[in-house]
Amino acid sequence: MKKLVELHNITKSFDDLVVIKGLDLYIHENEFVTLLGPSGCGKTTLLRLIGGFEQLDKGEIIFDGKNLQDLPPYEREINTVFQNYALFPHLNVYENVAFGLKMKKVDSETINDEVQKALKLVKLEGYETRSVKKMSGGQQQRVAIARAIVNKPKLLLLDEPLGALDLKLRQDMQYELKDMQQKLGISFVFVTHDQEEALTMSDIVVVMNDGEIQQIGTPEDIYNEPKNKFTAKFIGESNIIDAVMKNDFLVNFEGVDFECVDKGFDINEEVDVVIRPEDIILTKETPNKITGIVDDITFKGVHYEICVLVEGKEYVIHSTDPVTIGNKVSLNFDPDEIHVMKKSV
Amino acid sequence: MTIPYITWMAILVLLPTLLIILLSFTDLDIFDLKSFSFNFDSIEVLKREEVTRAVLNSIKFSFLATILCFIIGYPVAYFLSNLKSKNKTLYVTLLIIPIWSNMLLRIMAWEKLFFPVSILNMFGVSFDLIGTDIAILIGMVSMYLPFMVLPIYSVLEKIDTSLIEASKDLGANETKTFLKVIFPLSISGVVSGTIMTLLPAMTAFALPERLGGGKIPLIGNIIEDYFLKTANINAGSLISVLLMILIVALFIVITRFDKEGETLI
Amino acid sequence: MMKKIIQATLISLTTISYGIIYFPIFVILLLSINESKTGQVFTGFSLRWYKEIFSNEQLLTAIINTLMVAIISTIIATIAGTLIAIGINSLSKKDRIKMMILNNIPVINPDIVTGISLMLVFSLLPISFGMPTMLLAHVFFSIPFVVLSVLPKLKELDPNLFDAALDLGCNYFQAIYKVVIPSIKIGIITGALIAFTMSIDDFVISYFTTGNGFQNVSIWIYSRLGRKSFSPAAYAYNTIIVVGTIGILAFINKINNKKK
Repeated sequence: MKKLVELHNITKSFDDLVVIKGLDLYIHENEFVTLLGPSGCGKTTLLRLIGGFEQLDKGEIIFDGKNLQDLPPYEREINTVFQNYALFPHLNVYENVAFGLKMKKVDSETINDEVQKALKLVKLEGYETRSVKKMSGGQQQRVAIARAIVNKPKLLLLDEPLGALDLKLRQDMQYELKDMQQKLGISFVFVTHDQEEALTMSDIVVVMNDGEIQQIGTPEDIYNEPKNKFTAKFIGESNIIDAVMKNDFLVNFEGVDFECVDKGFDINEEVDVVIRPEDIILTKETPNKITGIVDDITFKGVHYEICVLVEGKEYVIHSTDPVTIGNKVSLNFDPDEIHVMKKSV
Repeated sequence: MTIPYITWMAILVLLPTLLIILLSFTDLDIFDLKSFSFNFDSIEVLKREEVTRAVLNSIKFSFLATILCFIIGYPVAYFLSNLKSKNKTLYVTLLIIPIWSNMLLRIMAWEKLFFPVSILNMFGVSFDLIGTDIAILIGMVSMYLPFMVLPIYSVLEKIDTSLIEASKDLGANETKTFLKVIFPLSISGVVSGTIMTLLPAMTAFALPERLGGGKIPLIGNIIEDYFLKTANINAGSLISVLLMILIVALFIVITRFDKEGETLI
Repeated sequence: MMKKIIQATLISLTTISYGIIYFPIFVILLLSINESKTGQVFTGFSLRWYKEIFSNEQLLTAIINTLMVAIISTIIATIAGTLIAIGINSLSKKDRIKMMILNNIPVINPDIVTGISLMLVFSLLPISFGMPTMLLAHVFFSIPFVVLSVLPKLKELDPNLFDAALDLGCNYFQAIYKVVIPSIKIGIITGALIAFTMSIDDFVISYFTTGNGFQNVSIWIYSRLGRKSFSPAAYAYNTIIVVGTIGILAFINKINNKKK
């Protein structure tokens, strides 16, 4: 795939606080990329740097072959969907959506066609003359999306656009946005702190923390093979255990040797092991397995969340079968469900 | 709480208005109700040259002063709202302080300056402007400029920065963003500012009297003349009524521009 | 290049604005330290007019009258205005619009018309012209401004707060006092400030509603304009107020900046 955006050595500070620390990233054509991370990790700042609303301290951004240095937002062929929608209150829906096209001095017939198409795509046909102030959050957000995509940018930036919506609407919009991206053939850079959202929509997830990239990969990669403790903790639920890599394909923790599918570590290297709660099956006490006592059980609808104490350490298991508190149980998992990561500092 | 207020306002607002309307056309001795008789002489007064001149003067000066205040005031409000300084609010507040200073004294100060013999002479400068249009205009702008700047500044301050970013994101440069987004969103401030400048300017009384040297009467001066100097209560009342109608009409017209409809309601 | 021209124009216009607004104040300051009484020529530097504020009995009385009327009318108007605003806020939209039109008439009405109207009404009532009528007049034109300051804050107020107070055991008055009032504090203070400012400087309305020799500062000045009985002590009084206010504001500003 062809590279659309190249970010080299991006560095940005606000006052004395370094918010992005020498970051490198590529975004390809026709790709749905999500910047995922906790508040303050720099993801929104990165987005705003690409959009032109902040200036780089160091580094460069190459977009479609052009260096974007010093180019103001209105000269970049990139459009943004803002977190609070930023719809112009003094203009109705049609005028809001047509704004960018009017700036490009497109003729009114074409504007009319394009606006209609855009409104159809976001399922707001017939809303042209409505006042944006009186619309619901979900509707406003769709107007914001229409207003951006009608300009046919090569790159669309979305800053936590689904944050203010209720759960059902959010989930619907996630599918719609993914659908739109594929239909339009545009690249999306999507910012969120919600990992489920990232996993649902993205082709590529960029996990960020503290101004640095923790891991880049497909949703499956990130979820199944987290490369460090942060990613493992941030994505899905994990049990992270201190372990020692005895040899290739052999790891030891809780006093037991386990066969695993990872290699390339030094002999007896200290590592972190990740096992997902849904990968652990509980059985009656069995020899040669990790054993513990059931401490707590909570019904979560989709599964039971069970807390097992193994010599004072807490393991979290997701199971559709309940167990009794106080029982002794053994933890069972397959070799390919043990993920070994380099020890994080 | 509202019923007492209605009563209070009824007595102090509606009653006098009725009275004035009555007094425009009747001879009513308040203490001797029997002498009630209609008197339409006051209408003749309206045709007098001095009245027409005063009305025209009021319109002329108030409109000119308002336009000047807008031309100077809007850019100043814009400049202040874009300042990135810790002391921003202080600068804006400084604009208000002269209002606390006595209006008559300020008028006097201008009066003295426009007189050929003044303390400005020690700087080698001398003006002879009493009785000129310019004197009244300068005086009015000096008095009313803060009233134009402040409402516009408040409204500009409230504009969400993300709207400006969105405008640029969609391809509008600084000028277009101002014309298509910032200015339209500031209209309610412009409306407030215009009302607070135009209406006081039209009904100004001491200012034209002192700076106009008695040669440039405005409506306010005429009313005072009729009520206190010639005791022609009918005429005074009639002109007052007309002034009220004029002001209310202007108010309604101007607020039509404010689609938000938030000003004063 | 264009940007620089625009910036330069903006800065010049701003400077001209501050200049034209402050010029008379500056002149008043000069006149207050001018030895001469007529103020037409600068005869020398003197602080005598500052001392005379206290020795000129009529001016001093006028100043005291002005402050008295301002303080009392502000207190009454603020309390009344706040309660009225709370009342208006709970009305239906139709009623509210009617009340607001009534409320805003004194605001829009030219002060001459208000002054004369009040003069006519007062002459019908069994009140003697003088301090009572001036006070009444000031309360009258101040209340609408208080209402206009407080109402927007009331609109912003979360309606649940009042209910929460009731839920936790307050009766209606306690709920208003403990919850509503603190939230709209800013509106009340702004309203009070506006009322005070309008009262201190008022001329036209006071002129028509006073009597019995009761003068505020503006009337004192007006009756002596261009005559020998005028004293530059008035300039001194004014300068003290202006300099004092700027000083207080600068001080508050410094404190606020330090906090940040």
